[in-house]
Amino acid sequence: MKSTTVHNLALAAAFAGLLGGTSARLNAQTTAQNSAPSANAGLILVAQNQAPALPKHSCKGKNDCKGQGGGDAKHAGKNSCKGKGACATDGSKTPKV
Amino acid sequence: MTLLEFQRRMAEDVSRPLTAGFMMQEVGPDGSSVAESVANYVKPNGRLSSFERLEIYNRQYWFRLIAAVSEDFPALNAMLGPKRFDELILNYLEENPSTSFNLRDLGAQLPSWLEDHPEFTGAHLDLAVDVARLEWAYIEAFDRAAMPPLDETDLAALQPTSVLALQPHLQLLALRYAAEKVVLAVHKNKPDVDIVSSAVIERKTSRQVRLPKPRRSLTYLVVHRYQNSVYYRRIDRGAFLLLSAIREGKPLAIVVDKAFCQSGLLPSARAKKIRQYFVHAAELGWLIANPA
Repeated sequence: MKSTTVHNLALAAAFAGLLGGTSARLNAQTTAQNSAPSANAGLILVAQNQAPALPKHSCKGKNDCKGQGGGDAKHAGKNSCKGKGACATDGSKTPKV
Repeated sequence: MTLLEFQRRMAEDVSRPLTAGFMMQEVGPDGSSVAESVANYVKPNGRLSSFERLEIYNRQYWFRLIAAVSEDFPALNAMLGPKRFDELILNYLEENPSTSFNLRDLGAQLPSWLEDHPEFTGAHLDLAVDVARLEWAYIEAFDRAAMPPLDETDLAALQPTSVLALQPHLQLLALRYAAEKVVLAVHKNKPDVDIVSSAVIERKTSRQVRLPKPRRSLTYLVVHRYQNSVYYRRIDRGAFLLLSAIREGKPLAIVVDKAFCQSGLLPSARAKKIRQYFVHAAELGWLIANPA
């Protein structure tokens, strides 16, 4: 008799948990675009949607810095920086002319 | 020699295992000279003999397979070092050759195979096996199916005799070490690169990573996919047993008893834990209706 009570208590807890968890998930989907459960998902093992980190570059005299950042608003991401070293992202300085 | 005979002959020679030094074998399985038999159907040129020409294909075939498996086990690679890892993979592939058009499945048997081959891991066998199991769990979690999770209609029909199932992408692991620390350390140091060059860079960086040395302790993990990323979550033994019982297809009435079958917890504390386990599993969509 006692073990039946314990078993029923556990079973009731399972149903209550299923109901609570499912409601929480469905509510999160309709309100906050899944934001609530993501905190409970655990730690990320490998992220799939990370933007790739841009490589560091010196830019000096090179023509491959297009789209790689660095420089001022006028020159960033363009090849007009060729030979100037102005948009280096590796910490190197603009050469003195 | 017909075209079919030629194709079969070349496939056999190209897929023959390499020597320990990663070169084409000079003696065939029947004891005959490979150089002589290859000369019957491969022309030499000004710089390379028939044997040398075919050796290029033989080596590339195996290097591609080795690279495919290596990409799936970067932490194991970092842990063992490239030389011992390459040797391990070569031996693994000799015993577990590719049987599918899909290279994705090539490393599936590696964790269990490794368990029977301590000669490749030295004193770190258990940790190496745990790392391999976690890395394979990542592959499974990444691309196994995601089914619609339980909804209100499913819940309304639930009985104590009902059987639930887990998401196909969800992986349950009982490890002897906190292997996730090793895997995370390697991935943290892995640069973001395009897919073509990833194998080369991965092997370079694997050697440079300073790996943690986790202590031996029973670790229960769920590895699962959530919003296109793979997560791992530590769970306690009760949750592991409960989720394992669901995966085994046990009805709910049995599942709740499995979680604490050898526990001294008070009934009220058990009930509280069981409720928490189900709240969490249902919230993350881990539970699905039984597909059977």
